[in-house]
Amino acid sequence: MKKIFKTLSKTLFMATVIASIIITFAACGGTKAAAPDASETGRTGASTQTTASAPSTAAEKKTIRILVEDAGNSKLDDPNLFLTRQYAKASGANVELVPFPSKDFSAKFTTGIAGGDLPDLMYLNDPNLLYDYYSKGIYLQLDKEYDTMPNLKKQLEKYPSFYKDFRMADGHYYTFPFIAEVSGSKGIMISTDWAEKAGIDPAEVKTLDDWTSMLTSLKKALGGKAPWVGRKKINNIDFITPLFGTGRSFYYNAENKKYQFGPADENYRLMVETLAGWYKDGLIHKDYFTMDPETYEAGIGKEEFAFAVEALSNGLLSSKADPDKKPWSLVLPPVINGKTYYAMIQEPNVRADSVWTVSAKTEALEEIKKLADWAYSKEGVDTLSFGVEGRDFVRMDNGDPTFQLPGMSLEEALDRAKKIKKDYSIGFFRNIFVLPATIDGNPWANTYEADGRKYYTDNNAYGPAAPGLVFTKEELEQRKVLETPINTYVDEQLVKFITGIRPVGEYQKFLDEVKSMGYEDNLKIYDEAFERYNQ
Amino acid sequence: MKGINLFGYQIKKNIPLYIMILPGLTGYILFRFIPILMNAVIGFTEYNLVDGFFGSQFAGLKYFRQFFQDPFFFRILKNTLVIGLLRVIWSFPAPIVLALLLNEIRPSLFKRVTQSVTYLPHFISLVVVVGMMNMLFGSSGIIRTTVLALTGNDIDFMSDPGWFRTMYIGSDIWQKSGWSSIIYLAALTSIPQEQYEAATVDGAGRWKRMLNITLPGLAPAITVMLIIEIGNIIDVGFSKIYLMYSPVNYSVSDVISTYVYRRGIVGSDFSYAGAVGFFDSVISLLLVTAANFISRKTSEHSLF
Repeated sequence: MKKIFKTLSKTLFMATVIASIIITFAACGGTKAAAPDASETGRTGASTQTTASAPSTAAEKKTIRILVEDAGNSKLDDPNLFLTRQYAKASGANVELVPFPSKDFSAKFTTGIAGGDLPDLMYLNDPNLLYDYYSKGIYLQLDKEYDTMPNLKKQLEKYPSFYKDFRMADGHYYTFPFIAEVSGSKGIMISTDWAEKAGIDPAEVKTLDDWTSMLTSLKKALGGKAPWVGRKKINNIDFITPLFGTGRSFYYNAENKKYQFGPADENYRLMVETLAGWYKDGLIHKDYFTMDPETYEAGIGKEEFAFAVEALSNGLLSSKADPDKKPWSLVLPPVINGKTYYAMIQEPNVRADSVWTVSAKTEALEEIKKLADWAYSKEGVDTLSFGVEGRDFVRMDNGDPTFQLPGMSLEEALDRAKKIKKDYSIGFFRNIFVLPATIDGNPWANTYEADGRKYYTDNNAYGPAAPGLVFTKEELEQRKVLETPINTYVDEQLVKFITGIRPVGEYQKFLDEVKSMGYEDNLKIYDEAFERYNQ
Repeated sequence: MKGINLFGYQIKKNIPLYIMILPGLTGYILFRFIPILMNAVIGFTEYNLVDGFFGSQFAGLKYFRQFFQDPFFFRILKNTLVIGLLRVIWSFPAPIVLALLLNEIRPSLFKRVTQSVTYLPHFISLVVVVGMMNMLFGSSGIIRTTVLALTGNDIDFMSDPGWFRTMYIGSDIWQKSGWSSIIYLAALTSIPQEQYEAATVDGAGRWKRMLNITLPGLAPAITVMLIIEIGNIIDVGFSKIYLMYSPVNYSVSDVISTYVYRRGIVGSDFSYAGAVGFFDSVISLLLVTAANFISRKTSEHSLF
């Protein structure tokens, strides 16, 4: 018995040792091949990998693997997905979607690079993934391909900034652009109900003094509660700096046509002094830099607050919660020293944070080009944004598509649009090539955002987009060393100044401190990159 | 040669034990030792994923220097160590106290329910825990509003630098004590009942029994856990701090991992992260070794 146990133990021991060694080697080598496999990356295991074939003979066809971003708001795991079928139809190839979840997109992507097995066509949501790896031969150079893609060419003629913004430091191009025909829509909003109660005419709020009076009246109407709130914590400041014609850190000043360091601007100092005064007087909510989004949205919904500089959609929160409440009214940026700045800085139409790249290893370049060129065509844009004409959408008198079929209420149309977008995985910011103005302008949903955007555009209150700078590897490295401590310190001191923890009288001392941290050296890096951009 | 023979004999003699240790050891090799070695390699090279370990250029101490010369190096190191030490001082004894208290309760439905209730927070994700904290202590949270109504003081528990560590450690104790007490409850079962009976006959009350029998019986487990905890001082969790911190409380909340994360946002800075990770490992190793040495010198118990 003892002998049997001994033999058994020995065998088991040896087997475990061998198994462990195999597991160790398998796990070490695993990153090489497994990373970009869709079955590992999606939300529901193997079912996330969706494939579709073009209608004709599948056997001779090439297969394009397409890396898409999975933000959780679509059905990329549907095996018969509309989006995949359209891609297959346009390319004439079999299409396999490889979804990477948004939250750890970069990590998955870099693991994929390490494995050397990236999909053929790749949507990237982080410009660093382009800047860091183009020189490593990961992506295919696409300079010559543009000329043979008529629909893309037409789009680039419309948005020529692409040629400057996406030329890498080696002088070549590695991307198919994502084009957003409209920029985001932010605004300065006041609760219409509270404004009426406080006797405020939003159109008459013009100077900084008017703003002070407006906030004071709102506070009084709210029974002493602070009217101004924000949802983005420290990032709220990004909504305020344009009002003062400055930037939170290193930013492009469209007026001077140069890069500047926000805190060194006179207007930044004025902003800090003004906000500190308003905070002290209880006109800005005490939790302005820490309020959680849920409290913010609930408060706006119930109109416990009355003023916000935010995404325009937030102006509908209270009227959505209670139909008796009116959408919030819009205010223009204040006049500062005789000048009116911006309600927001526009994002460029061709966005660096969303690009398409092609794997250098692809064997289906022609098919990819066919797909992409179709996606930039009128038909492609409509299909990938609205679905099939006649079945999913119809056209309004002005030719714009709408999900509101004849005889359908707006509410029904909204629900229908949401369902189509989700079921088809179309019309979202991600994974398409062109986001048409009509989607964001909501011709089928509401006119609030479209009207708001028009109001600010008509009043020249949307600042021009910053040029897209491309930094060299060395510049990026220097920026990492300098910018992290500088931005950390600036954010920290900004909050301290505004909330009164640090007296504004020490502003010059603060400037000396950030100077000693090297903001001028960092600015030189921007200047050099900008100089290259202008050449 | 004799040593090798003895080693071989020891292995032969304890084959079942070695088999049992193997899965754990494999896990440690895969998820601890190999990452530490990788951090070391990456930290000393201009690492990029395309060129890999062997193709990347040697960078020497460049990234270590960058880390040590960072204007916030001392602050983030201090914050990391303070939070780690506070965890040892407050969070570490909590499960021991809980285990001792549970041990004093006779087996009953109440005991079982209490145990289950204290274990439950362990299974709640950090995002939910911090969400719950926001709901209770945030702008319109019931605790904040109640404190305001009762005292007239509006305390911003979630952002005030003065409250950050209390909130962090307090929620840590709430979430982890129950689960961590399991190991001590298991250790308690190994204390012979005869000792309690003899002590009771000698007239020892509950308090005396706890001091003279239970605690000494727990000492080996406490020592091992303490040494491990000390090794983790520098490894304060990233996720929870990331969820709780803001520029308002950076002065006390910004730790090595969050700072490195912010730097990583600008670009995939693997070498810098590798250097910091290796630095963390070295400090942890020194702390564990020192704690073990002190424990061995001052008591009969040590980890190795």
